[in-house]
Amino acid sequence: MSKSLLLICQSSPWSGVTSRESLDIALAGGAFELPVSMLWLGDGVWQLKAGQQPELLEQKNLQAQLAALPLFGIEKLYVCASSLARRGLDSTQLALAVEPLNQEQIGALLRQQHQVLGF
Amino acid sequence: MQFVLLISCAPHSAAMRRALCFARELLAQEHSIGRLFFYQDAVHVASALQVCAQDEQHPGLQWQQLIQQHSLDAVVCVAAALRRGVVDQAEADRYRLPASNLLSGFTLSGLGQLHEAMQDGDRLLHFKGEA
Amino acid sequence: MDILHMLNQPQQLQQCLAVLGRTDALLLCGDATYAVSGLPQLSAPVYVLAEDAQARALVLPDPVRLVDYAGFVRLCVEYKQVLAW
Repeated sequence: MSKSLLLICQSSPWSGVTSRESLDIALAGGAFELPVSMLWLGDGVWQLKAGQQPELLEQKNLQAQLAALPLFGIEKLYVCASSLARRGLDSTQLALAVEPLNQEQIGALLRQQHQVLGF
Repeated sequence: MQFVLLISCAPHSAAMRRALCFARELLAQEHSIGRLFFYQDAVHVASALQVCAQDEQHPGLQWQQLIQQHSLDAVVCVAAALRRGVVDQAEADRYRLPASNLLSGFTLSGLGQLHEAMQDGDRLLHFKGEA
Repeated sequence: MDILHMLNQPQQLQQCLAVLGRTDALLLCGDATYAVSGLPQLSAPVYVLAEDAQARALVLPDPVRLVDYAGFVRLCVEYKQVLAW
């Protein structure tokens, strides 16, 4: 049985290539049909905000990578509820369907994984 | 135990040195390193063009020595490396670049190698950069 | 599954503490060692990488334990998962 991997996305989207490169890890895992799940946390939740215009910063839109996640079989997509709330965001403002988790649920999620990587 | 080290920190960061010291200790305790995987800014450590002052550590050469001494599998993510200008001769030819600069001992390959190593290994350690 | 949480900078400390389990452990390295004096009482053991604490001339509160690289490796073997924040 394959080892499960949780990717925690903590980086804001436009300060560099970190967000894109962390999504690349997820998509590569999906391409190999590995059990990958995602958790957006802290400033990483900004990656999910709908309606962004990165072309103004001459950056590639993350939307394409985010939309590809379920196409690559990565369907366990979670977000830290308190990270959203602290930033004045709610699920209706996000570009991706993600399941909000509280801290206790996040702790449980971590413990279910074989491996966790944070970016 | 078999360890996989994912290293994504900049070459001169404290985390890079910590990764090297950790790797040395792993081998001293007779654990095995399934793969070293250099990602994001860590790919720069595999550039043969780094010049460090005499009284400074040279992380590229230090890793090269460890890799060669223990026949370690040291992979540099090709996509991250190309983006940052760390290329082997094959990539230099493919993209018609004026030179190649990958330090011997390191090989360029894809994220599949990271996933393969993570599946095979017992422990995954991520040495990430300071913000 | 018990987790060794590894921090190398203090920014992620609060998030780490929010999910730190009673049978987990915390290892502070690098600039995260500066956070050691402000840590709340934890049931999980707290370790500090010795070279980082000593280089910074930090005074450690009692329950915090110093580890060298040998100890660092042993912790990684002992805990099922090592999570770098």
